[in-house]
Amino acid sequence: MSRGRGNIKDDLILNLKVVYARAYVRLKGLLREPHWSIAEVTIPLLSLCAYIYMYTMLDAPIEYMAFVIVGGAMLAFWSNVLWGVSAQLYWEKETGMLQHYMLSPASRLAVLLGMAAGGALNTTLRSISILLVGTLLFPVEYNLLDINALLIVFLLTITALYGMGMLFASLFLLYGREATHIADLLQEPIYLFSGIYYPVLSSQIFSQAVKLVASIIPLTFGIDAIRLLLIMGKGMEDVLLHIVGLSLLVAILLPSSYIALRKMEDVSKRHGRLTLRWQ
Amino acid sequence: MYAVETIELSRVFELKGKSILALDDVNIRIGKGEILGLLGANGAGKTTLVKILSTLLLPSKGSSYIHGHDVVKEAKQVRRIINLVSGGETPGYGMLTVRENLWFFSQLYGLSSSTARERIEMLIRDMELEQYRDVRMHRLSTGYKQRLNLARGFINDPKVLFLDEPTLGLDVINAKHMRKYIREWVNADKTRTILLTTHYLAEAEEVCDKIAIIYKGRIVAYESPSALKSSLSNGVSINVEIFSDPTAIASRNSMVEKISRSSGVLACMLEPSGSDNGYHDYMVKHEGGSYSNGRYDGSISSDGLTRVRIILDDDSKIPDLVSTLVLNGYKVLSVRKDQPTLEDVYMRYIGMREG
Amino acid sequence: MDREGVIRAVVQGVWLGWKVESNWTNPFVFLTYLIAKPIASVILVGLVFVIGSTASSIQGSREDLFFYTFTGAVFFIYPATIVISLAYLVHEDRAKYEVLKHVYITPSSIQTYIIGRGVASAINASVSVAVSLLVGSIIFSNYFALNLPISASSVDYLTLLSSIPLGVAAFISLGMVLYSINLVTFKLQYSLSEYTTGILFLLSGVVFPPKMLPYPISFIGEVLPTTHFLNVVRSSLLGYNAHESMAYLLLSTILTIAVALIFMRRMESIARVKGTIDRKAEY
Repeated sequence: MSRGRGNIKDDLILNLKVVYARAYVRLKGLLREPHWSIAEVTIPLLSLCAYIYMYTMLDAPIEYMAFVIVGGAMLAFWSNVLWGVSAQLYWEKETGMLQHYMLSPASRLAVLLGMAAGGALNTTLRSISILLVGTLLFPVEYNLLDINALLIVFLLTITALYGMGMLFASLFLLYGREATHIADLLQEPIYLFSGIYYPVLSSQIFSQAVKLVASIIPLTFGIDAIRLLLIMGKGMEDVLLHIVGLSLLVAILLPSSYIALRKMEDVSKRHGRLTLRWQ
Repeated sequence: MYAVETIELSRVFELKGKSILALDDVNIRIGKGEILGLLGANGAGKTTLVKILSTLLLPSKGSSYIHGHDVVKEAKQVRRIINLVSGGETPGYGMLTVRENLWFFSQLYGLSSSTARERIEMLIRDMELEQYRDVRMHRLSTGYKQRLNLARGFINDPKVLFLDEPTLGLDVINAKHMRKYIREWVNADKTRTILLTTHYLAEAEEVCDKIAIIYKGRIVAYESPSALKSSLSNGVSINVEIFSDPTAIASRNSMVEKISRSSGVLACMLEPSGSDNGYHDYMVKHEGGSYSNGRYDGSISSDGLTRVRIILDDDSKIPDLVSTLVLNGYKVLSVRKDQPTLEDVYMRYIGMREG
Repeated sequence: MDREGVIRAVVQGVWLGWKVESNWTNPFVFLTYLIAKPIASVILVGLVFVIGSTASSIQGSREDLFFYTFTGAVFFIYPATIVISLAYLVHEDRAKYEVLKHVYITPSSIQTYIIGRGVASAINASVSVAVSLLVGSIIFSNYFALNLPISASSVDYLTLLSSIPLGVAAFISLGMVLYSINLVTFKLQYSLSEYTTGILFLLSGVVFPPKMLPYPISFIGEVLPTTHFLNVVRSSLLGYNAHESMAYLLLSTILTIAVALIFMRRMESIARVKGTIDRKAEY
């Protein structure tokens, strides 16, 4: 028994080191290639500005400006999840790094968690920058009354979002070369349904069915709740449904990502496609 | 317990509805402290075997063990004691330095900070990477990238190290350095084992205790280099110099054919020389008595001399061979007896199956 | 190179571009990519319009504004597709497939090859534009009662059809500029095209008139070929006189082509000096 516990402890220590080491690579990337971060703040801001001008043209209420800025700040996470986590195993395969991971005793989930943790930390900085620059450029007002609720919603959103990214990572690994297309393909529909530039769950435009489908995307609950808390001055009781929804997503996505990762690795090993580049 | 053991290991790949047998009932046993060289042509199954043993690929049939651990069922335990270095692969993240990359890999094996630090410093020193310690990986030359890659392979001090054509694309000095290090590493601790796949016969001869020749997924020979050479039993290699028109390819082909059909000839090949037209021809005798021929990388003399290397099953056949040549109108200038080389062995085992 | 050689090189570039963009993956995924992604981006703009105008205090018909934003989003597919494709081409050819050096050392000019690849992208974009226009107009008409004030009989087809090759020429030239920059650099492979399309989206009057922007940013919008391309397209769809916009489009296209050719020649020589044509960057 003690040997078993020892093994579990060793495994835990090993995998924590792996999480830290993989996150370290991400953070080093941020420091070594600062132009990436600049691009990831500036480029979304260009679109945000365009949509803010569009709302101005339409004489939409002033809070719509803040809606867009919050949406844009959260969009940074989606981009990171898609390109930095979901597609990352595929990229690691293309660059020949995946083989090194697969050879090691480290858990693949730990590798993904490391990517996610590094990415989330990186992206939080970027997201805050987008929020700050957007707020400086346009006359937006915030009305935050319940910071605890905001933190809970934010953490749940990020956990669910990165859980989804880890789930996709396995699928991308299996789809090989098509991964970039899938990542590209998912980008716009997610913008559409998750309400990056407009409210979805509180809007009368969308049917209940559309709202239900949109709720599968953690971003939808997350953005809506953050807008309610940060801009509309709402409190915990107003976002309880969001919290329940996000918690459910976390409970489903995290175990699913683990199961999918094992399954995909097994399938890849059987077909000999795990480590072949450009396949 | 063997360091590496495979039992009737087979692997079939399905490609566009076709089944390709990449490994066919492979049985090998590598003892601790041994370096096994796996020789074979492209597509012979070398890399497939290494991938299965290193847990990257599942076999279709058979079993394999690393230090007694089942490679399929106990992959995690196996991964703790192995590592793999392939020639020309990415040794890490381009934006990380040499030291950072090694630290990163040390963490994939859960090394403690102090052990990691010591081992990284040792490997940087052993691989002569001191001046590149803080240089980003993408700025290294091919040779130094491969040194870093090799260092990565040693980072967990594996019990079994798989080296898949590790000197591929390396210059003479880097390749020599690598071979020397590999040999010393095993000599330093007799519980360490290496499985080395290579195209280079000299490399295998220089560092390996045993050599396995793999052909179309089957191990066709498995001995020490000296035993393999003597597997030509009473075999003898002779170098014959014949005066002939170097441009007459047809006449050379015919000569190779005539020699090969002579009594006692196991294989015959035109020897490389100064001038080069890219290939030379060989012909080998099958075990059943039939013949096959092919073209072999090399060159043909332009000085009017054709040099032929012939492997005979017995040196008593030399006079008959010379007579055959003379009777066929070839001007034999010299006949020199030589010890069989690994190349002769390779030709004997692989050449006879090609064609 | 003689005329036949140039034509052959362009045709080969188009063929290769089509092959690369269509053949390397599942055709189903490719079609989805060619159709679903552009449609989603057009619907996104349409939904922002619907939600913004519903929330607006000003009521009444807004079909003119809808027409402006919707056509802007649809026809912006041309510059976005071409510019992104050509900017990414260096990375694709140099690092991914490692064929750039082989293309470069052939007697045909690299510009001809780029034009060929740009035309292949324009063909792809045309499919996306047609489908997005059709699907988008049906969705917004049926679900949101927003009809485009376009009548088939009043469309100035001649102007519309001549504006497309002119616009495509300008966008290929723009793509050539980005290609040139990427030829001598390594770190901008992904971001450069995103910056450019982002700037074009903001400044060219795609979803709002550029005059809403503060001066002198609005002035930059006025000189961009994308702005004039969209103006000509909108005017010709409504059957309005588009002569002035067409003249501006022609002028800005000629200017862009001239700048691109000069710039590319300069960058090519820098690339040879720096040895960046066959060098791979690793991250």
